[in-house]
Amino acid sequence: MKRIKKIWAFILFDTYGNIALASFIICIVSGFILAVPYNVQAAYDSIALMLITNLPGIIFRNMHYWSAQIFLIFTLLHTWEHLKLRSAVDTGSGVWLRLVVSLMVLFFVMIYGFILKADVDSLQARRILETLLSDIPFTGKLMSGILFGNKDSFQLIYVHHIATATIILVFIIFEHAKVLWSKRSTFLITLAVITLLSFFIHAPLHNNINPVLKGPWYFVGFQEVLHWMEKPAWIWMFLILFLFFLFALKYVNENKNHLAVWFILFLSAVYLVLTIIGFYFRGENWEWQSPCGKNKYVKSVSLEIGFQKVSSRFAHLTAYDIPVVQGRREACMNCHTGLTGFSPSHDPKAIGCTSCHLGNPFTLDPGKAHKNMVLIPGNLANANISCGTTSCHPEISERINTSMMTTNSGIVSVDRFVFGENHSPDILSHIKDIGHSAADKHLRDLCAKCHLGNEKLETGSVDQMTRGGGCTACHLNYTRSGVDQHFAYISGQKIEELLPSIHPSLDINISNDHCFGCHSRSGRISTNYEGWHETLFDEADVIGQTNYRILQDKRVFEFISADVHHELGLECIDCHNSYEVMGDGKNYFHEEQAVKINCEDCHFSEIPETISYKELETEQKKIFDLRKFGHTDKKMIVGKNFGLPLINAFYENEESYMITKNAQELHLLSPPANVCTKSRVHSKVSCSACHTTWAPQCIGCHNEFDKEAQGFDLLENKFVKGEWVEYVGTFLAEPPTLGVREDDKTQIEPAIPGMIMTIDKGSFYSSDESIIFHRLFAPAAPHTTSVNGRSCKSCHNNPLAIGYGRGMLIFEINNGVGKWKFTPEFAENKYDGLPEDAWIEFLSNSSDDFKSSDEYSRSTRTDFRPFNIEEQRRILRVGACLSCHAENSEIILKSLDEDLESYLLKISGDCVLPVGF
Amino acid sequence: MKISRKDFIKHFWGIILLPYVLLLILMERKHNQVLKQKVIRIPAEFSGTVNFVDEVICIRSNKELKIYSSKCTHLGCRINKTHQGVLVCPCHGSSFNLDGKVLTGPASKNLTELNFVHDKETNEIVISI
Repeated sequence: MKRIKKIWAFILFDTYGNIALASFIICIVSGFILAVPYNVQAAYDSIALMLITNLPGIIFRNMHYWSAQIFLIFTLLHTWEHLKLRSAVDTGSGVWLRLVVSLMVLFFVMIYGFILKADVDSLQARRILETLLSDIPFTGKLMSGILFGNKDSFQLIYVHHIATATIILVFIIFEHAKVLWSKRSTFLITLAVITLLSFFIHAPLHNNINPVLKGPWYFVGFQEVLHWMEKPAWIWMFLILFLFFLFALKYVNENKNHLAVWFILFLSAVYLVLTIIGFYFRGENWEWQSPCGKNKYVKSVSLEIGFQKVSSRFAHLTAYDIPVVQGRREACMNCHTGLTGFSPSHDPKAIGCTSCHLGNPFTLDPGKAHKNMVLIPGNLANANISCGTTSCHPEISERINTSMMTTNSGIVSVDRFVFGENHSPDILSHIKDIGHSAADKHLRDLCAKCHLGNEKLETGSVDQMTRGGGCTACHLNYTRSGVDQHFAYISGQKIEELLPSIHPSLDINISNDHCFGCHSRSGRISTNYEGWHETLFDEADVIGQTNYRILQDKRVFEFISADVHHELGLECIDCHNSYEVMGDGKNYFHEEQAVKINCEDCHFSEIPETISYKELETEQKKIFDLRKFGHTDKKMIVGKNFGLPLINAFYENEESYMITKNAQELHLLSPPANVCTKSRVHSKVSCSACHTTWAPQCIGCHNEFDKEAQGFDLLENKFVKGEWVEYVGTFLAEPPTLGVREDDKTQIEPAIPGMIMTIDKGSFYSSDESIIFHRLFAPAAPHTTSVNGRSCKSCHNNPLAIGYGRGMLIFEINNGVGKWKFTPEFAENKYDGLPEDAWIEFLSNSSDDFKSSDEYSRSTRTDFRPFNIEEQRRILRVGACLSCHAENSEIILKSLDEDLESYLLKISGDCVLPVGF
Repeated sequence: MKISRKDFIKHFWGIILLPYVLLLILMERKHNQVLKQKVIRIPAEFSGTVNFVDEVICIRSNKELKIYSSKCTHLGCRINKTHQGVLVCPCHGSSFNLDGKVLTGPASKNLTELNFVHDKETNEIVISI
């Protein structure tokens, strides 16, 4: 204990009061000097300018800051000392009253200093104090006006800081201590300590981007208290009571004083705890946050440590040389000169560098400038502080969290359903919330990379291997030269001379390549659209063959036929809009619910609903303008089901047109064929059911867990032990099976074998759990549209279309009795006895069991099913007709205009219909 | 009772200052009155549902436009963002729904709704605060 006291005595080279006085003198002098560069009319800018260009100014600012903090701390310690020694008893009541009140003045002069830096922390602190004062009955508004002045000006605050409060403090110090000058040695030691601190630890200035807002450290505990108070004006009562309590100590005896001192010590300890909580455990929106939390960018603005190292080439910079962007100095651009490649909206001249990359814009020291920088802005983890800040795209960064491409809801819920972990495939889910069950591990091993929340960790362009990346997934574009420069830099020594001079562009020129990485998997709509079908070949198998394409991941694709829209030059974004891709703020179970475009929106025979340019909502108008569309005078077509305008499609002179968004090519939109619109009997058949040429189909898949294999957790991007291995059966590219969607309307849609598979759950849990077998088909939008629809027979006489699987379906007539006969091509599956590729059993009532229980589920949706027995019979009844009559025969064409039942009453006596139909 | 001039000044010097205090109050009121009114003009069309401009929050839901003061009713901090579809105060975490109603404290009062006019000539919303 004695040793500690000795050390303490050595550190405390003089009394608390004398050190406080020395600090006060240094504070006044440094403040006087600071008045030279400080401009009260442009407070924030003048400090930023000083931080960037004026090293001596930085030192004086730091000295002013540190001397003020030391003055505050030692004044409080000095007060504590006096309370312990009961000095109040020997002090005149007037003097004691003024001393007690001066504590308030002390805090006011400190907070004035904090406000005068005029960053967002300061502005909010000012608003809080003004409101607190205004809430005082009768005199509040007057006091607020007198103490803070006009809300857009710092003039009065500056006057009170440098004059009013300082004069009061000088007066009180003199009255109390009878001196205005500390001992020379005390002054010099204090000056040395403050100078040393000022060289290495810099006073903070908020960059106005970090969303965490906090008051000065000595008010953070106060901020925490206010957080719990519904009526914060009561805080004045507590403060007045506390001051009264201090004043009353003059009149109490020694025992009571002793108790009071302990009480103050207790209050101080509580306040210290509150301060620590407020500073380290409160984050954005004053929510709880771990001090070791992942997001290093969203932390309290803290003191910069380290000496400033600035290159001599900046010695002659003037205020005009340092750009001001969005009211903020951006010294970054003084080093990073000559960069090109930006889109106009994201040019640093318009938004600066820190709007996206954060870092410290107020220094020319590269080490400090790059601290806490975001290398790749736009990842969803940092979107709220980069792309999504209030002045940029706040609403999009919110609603993108509901995008199907962020949540993967359908993928997660269907996977869990298949593994028996969900009772339904329609449960709202989010890929970021998956755990480590068998199903979730399956997702982690095979699927969890393709979502927008997957962080892009390396710079470079979006290619076939890119997954996720938030905003960059779609909006990042490199020029050819940009790619070359980037490659030269990262493959070399990463030396300054090789730093790319072309910055990637962030724009709305979204190509099919942006979608390709993720959408060349699962439903494979990106590859389908371009006509490519995945095979089980290796690269070596197809060398020299022109009909094959090898992707970056070495998968081999065979050319089948491209979608007609692709052949005409349409890209993904020509149909799919921002509200589909980036979400519309609503959560959906499955992807088809989030899609807002339908074939009928472009292909119609009636006069469409239209909207003028003026009536467009701002986001649509902004996209329209950015694309430099010229049809501002045209009537734009409004989508039928969702009422969303198609900004690149318009109606004029009884014709409809579409302009491709990137290439700006004009296309005439053709109306649907007569057979599509006039035929009553096919009114429930969706366009894609007929016009889909082929769909990728995977049959006979087995999943087994290999405990010893080294897996890769796609969600967390790390290697792990054990992984699910998928053994693929057969890949086929053929016209899809058809199924029935029953939501608000009944519609026939394409279906593909979503999961005809077995899962060995026992291999995961090391248990005797039996193998799970599923025969689930999924509704599909294969994106292989052709101009001509399917033939009649391709549905009515096709076992694959009806759901029986591949094979021979024949209508046999023996002795005037007609009977359908089906011989499957694939062998029976040992688990359910159906042909491997079938959806349902041939003409069996069992298909009606759909949805009766989980066990009998037939599809990956609760509103999608195979044809029931009655529907199969109706299809095959027409199929029987088509066995004899040609598709384009008069008798068949006439049947399209009538109800089938009444039409069949008129058939010839020679016709034979299937028995029992 | 006789009172000396010295004693009078000692005990009642505050009375001498009173007219000056009154003058100060009048001056501050006049000053406030002169500078109080501020007119904000913002484009009538804006992207999405919520738009933060200057000291106001514009909210368009179901094609109806409402303008609220961005001043948090707890302590006056400026609300300048939404989080998961609600307006959140950055200082103490009070949250309000898009009808300006308090969802979570510490604020206990709803946001102040402001009157506005639509200037059709310039297609701007004009708000006086």
